[in-house]
Amino acid sequence: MIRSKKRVLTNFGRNCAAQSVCIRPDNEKELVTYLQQKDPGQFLARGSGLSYNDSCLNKDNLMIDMSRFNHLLSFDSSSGIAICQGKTTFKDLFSLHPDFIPPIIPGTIHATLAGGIAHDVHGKNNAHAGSLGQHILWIDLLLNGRTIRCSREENSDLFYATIAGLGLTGIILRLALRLKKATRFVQVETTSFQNIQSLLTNMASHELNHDYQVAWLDLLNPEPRALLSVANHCAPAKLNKPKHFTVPRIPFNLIHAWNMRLFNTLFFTHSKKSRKVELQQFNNPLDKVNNWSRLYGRKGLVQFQALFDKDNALLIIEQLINSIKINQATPALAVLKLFIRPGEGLLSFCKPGFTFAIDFPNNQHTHTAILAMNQIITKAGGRVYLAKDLFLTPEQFLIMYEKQDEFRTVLTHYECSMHSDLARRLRIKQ
Amino acid sequence: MKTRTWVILGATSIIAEQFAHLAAQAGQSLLLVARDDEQLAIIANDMKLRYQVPCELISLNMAGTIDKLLAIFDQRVGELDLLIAHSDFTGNNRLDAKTITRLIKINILATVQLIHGYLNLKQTQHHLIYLSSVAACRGRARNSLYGGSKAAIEIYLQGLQQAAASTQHIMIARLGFIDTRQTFGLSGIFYAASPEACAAACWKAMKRKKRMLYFPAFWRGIVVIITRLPFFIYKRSGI
Repeated sequence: MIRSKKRVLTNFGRNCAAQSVCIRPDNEKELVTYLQQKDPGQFLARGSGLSYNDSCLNKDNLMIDMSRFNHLLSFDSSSGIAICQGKTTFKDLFSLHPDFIPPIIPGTIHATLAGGIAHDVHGKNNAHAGSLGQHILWIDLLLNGRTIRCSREENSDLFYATIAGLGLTGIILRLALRLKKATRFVQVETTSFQNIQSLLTNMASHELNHDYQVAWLDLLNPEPRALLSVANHCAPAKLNKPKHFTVPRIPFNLIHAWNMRLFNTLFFTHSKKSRKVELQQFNNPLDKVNNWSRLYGRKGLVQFQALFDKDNALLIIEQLINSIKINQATPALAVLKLFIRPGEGLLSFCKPGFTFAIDFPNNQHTHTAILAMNQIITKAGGRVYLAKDLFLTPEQFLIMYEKQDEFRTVLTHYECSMHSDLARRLRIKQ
Repeated sequence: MKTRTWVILGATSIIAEQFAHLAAQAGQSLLLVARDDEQLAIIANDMKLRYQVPCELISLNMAGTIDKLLAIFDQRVGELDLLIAHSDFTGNNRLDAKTITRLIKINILATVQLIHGYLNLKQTQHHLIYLSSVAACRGRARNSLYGGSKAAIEIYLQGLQQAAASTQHIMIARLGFIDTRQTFGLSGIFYAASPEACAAACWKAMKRKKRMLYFPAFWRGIVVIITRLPFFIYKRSGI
């Protein structure tokens, strides 16, 4: 029988931590045997622990470290279908074939595919590709000691509950997904905007014209300004490999309003209008800096990400910015994307509208600002992303995710015993 | 230079798997050997898909007959390198006639036969890495048969190192605590190094033609102290 040990685990933002009893099975057989022989209680499976909140934590309960389940199993270049284990990362998919890329690339390529499914992650290409769930063909789910294949045809209720299911349905052992045939280079065009209204209009009218679209906002400037980057795949080119940096552990926060203001001004004025870059450099610029969240010091960072309707987007964004200002929070990095395609999962975040993500240092000002912003989003009929949220209440969650009753029914029907700190906080599980 | 093939014994152990990543990354072919054929097939597929290198597998129980493997040594095409990472870890408290035989067979008998078979292959170069343990330095109450088996192979290899031609490189890697299933959750593990770092250290030391590697490096100092402790202190210390 494998041994367990107590470990204090945290998340990507390092804004909270919880002690769990951990096991780390070496292979599928060992995991299945363990779950069949022992009563695991309210357990959770953990991949890279890269969510921003308590979705990857399970205080005082069993945590299954899935580190060893990171193998690519097969790839068919005629169909683009890859089969792999749950802990395989988006980065690993790049090694399969030079002509294929992951259909969706989240903010970091180090996230695992099982984690990606559990939060139904999106990229900068929602208009064309939706979210990760759409590209998943089937999932082998380990549930109550047996492996269940679920797909759109087979055990479909479990399939749609597992997509964006926050890891609460079962352990994602294996999965099949269809990769996208495309080059690894993009031609990026960047336009600057001096006000948000013109940015929103531009984004809404050109969404389908480009493979990728994302706007960066400078909220520290007296009048918010933005850079809109659109990108299309282009022919491969010989480019210099970007340098990688690693941030050491820093005991204090380096992100302050004054230096971010300076950084933003430099970034805003020095951005090239047109450039050809590697896809990863465009899509995941922060992956160049290993452990960049350490810049926020010991307390870490908090990210707020919400989704709201396109029609009153300007008003909502203004309200959000206003509550940041009133509460004197420091919006270090802000990103705006436009969604067109809804996610397939019962708790999927994606639906048509604008999504606004803001990084803050983890402090009291941020907490009060986010509480106020959550109120604004609830009132506006929007929703907050469960891979990032730390402050929603069960009541707000009830209003935001309309298919949650269906989700709970599936959990009850299949007697799913998994749990997480997020699920306890939002009373997702009864 | 012709492509060489790394034969990896005990390929389903995490250190061996990480080493296989490095070998495959360097464009070398792989021949993975382990008992668990299911997991072996998973690892072999992963190597082929990630690095597009040929990767064969042999499912073999070192406690049984190893003729199959010795035959492959003889019939090989191209040259072979050898990483010995398989081991039986049975502690002294679980020894009986059966487990003693198994430990001796796996850790000593099969290992010596394979080393002998490998070094007698007619090749222009030999690279052999033996994953030993700091347990080989002084017998411990907890696992002295395991430590003794490692020490036996070390002594055998030292003789071979003395006799080795300049084209034959034999390295002993004395490993301290590595974050594997053997140390996970075990009390008294003050620091366990990552298997990735361990494999990388072995790979680098092999390239530099080191004869002996301590990993993590500070274990060299600990070993010096432990081996020199007067017995009455060693007995009382309960190390």
